[in-house]
Amino acid sequence: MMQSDAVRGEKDPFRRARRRGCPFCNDDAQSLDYKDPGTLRYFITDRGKIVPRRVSGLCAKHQRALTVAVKRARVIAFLPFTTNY
Amino acid sequence: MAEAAKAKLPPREYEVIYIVRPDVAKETSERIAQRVAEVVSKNDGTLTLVENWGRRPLAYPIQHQKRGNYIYLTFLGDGALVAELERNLRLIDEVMRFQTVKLSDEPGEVTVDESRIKFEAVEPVEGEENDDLTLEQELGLVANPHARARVEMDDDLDDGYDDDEGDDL
Repeated sequence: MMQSDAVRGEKDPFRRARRRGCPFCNDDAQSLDYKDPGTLRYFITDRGKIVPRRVSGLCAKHQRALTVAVKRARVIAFLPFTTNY
Repeated sequence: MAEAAKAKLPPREYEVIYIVRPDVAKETSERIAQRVAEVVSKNDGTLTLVENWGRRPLAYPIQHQKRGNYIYLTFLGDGALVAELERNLRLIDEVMRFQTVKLSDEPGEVTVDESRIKFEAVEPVEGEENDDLTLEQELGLVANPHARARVEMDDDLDDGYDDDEGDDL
């Protein structure tokens, strides 16, 4: 009875279309580079924190790459460590 | 024997970004670039690219500076060269920050174009532009002061000590 009409996700319409693939897996041309703060800024919060995977939607591989890239960008002052300055 | 094994290692490709204080004279930054090039060549390295990215805003102040001159270079060399180069960068007072990243263990055939490894200094600019913007606005973290105010309201939910930040910068 559970599976009758309840196609996965239909219960909550806002849940649908949320699952997108990892943007960096889909597009080979794009890559995570610490020298490109414009792209990285999309994956940090207002406070400069790295966005978690469940929010960023990245695959494990690219989330790891993102973490390294953001941390490198912070060292060279392209991105902030925190916003309390 | 160890020497022979060491000599066989192919050079690796590294990139370095270093940030020079924004207020240094053109000659000083040229002298720094020259010293860097000397260190690379003396340690059997090959410079492949030197770029001057010019004055950029820093995401956070370094040595009380809000801006810095970014210099980007790539070269072929070994770990000893990286160590020596970083030692030199540490000794130069005008260099505020540097970072070395290994690009590849075995770079393919690299051609060196003389024009690409020539350093072009930029003139220091008197005074600071955009001083009326907060750091967050300059970085594009917040679009405008109104958006910033809204974010701060949200933040008050989880901590209470950030009330004095931001707007008076």
